[in-house]
Amino acid sequence: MSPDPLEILSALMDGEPVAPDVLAAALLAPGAREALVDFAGLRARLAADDARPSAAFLRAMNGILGRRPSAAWAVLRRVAAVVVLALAAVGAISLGTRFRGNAPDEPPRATRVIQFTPGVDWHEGVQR
Amino acid sequence: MSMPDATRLFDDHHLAVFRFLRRMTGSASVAEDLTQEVFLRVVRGLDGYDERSREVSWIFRIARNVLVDRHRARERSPRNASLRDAAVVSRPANQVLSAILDEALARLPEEEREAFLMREVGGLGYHAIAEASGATPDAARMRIYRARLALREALGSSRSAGARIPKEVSK
Repeated sequence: MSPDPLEILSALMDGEPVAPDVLAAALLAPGAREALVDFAGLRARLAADDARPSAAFLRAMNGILGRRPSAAWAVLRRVAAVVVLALAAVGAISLGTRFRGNAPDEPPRATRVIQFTPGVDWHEGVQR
Repeated sequence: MSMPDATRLFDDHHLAVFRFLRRMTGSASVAEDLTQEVFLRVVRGLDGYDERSREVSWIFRIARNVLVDRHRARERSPRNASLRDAAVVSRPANQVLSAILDEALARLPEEEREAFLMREVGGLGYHAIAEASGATPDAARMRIYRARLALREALGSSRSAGARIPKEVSK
């Protein structure tokens, strides 16, 4: 019994060796060309699957495999830490400069004078 | 050939295993759990790795065993199984064609779906599929062919009228 022409085309899709004359005969069968296109369409639909596991899954697997974060990620973290420290330092210097710039060179001038008379307003050694 | 490194095996194969299991189960979260279980078993089984077998066959055989264990667990606790099925059914189907394909895949016999997805998603050849599933290469070829015909018909092709569905060949 000769093999089904579509079975030959299916094997061809899977990279199996098919003799040229057998392939030619299979392609002449009714509906063979359409079937080949449909098989290729099925493959294309499945190949378009770009589903990926979540980041949480990858973190868990890195733990299971005992793998540290990648070198690029480690460098990125260090750069981020340096940037944060630099921003904090610049901010602190800026604040310090601002306060020092507003600071008066002389003590404030008195706006009123309060005088106390010894023996009248206060008594030495006496607590109230 | 030396013993493979688990990290390298994970990097090389986890996407294919995840996508295979996602198609087999219809759920990304279940596929993540099962993929994790697969690579846990890979790590534990490295000492017993048979150098004569194909690396990808070995990993997909483990994936298949994980699926079989899941089926058995679901049979033992049907209540959990129904809850999981409900979760699968309620998943969002953003792409209509993808949803139709998923449904058509779900209707395939288990062995055909498995062989077809090992081929199309995992990229395994007939011999590798045979090693992973315990079938013969001829059986793998026939299962894939039958799956293609069934999916083609399910996806609405009116041109498949002339295709005959062959009987399963002996394992």
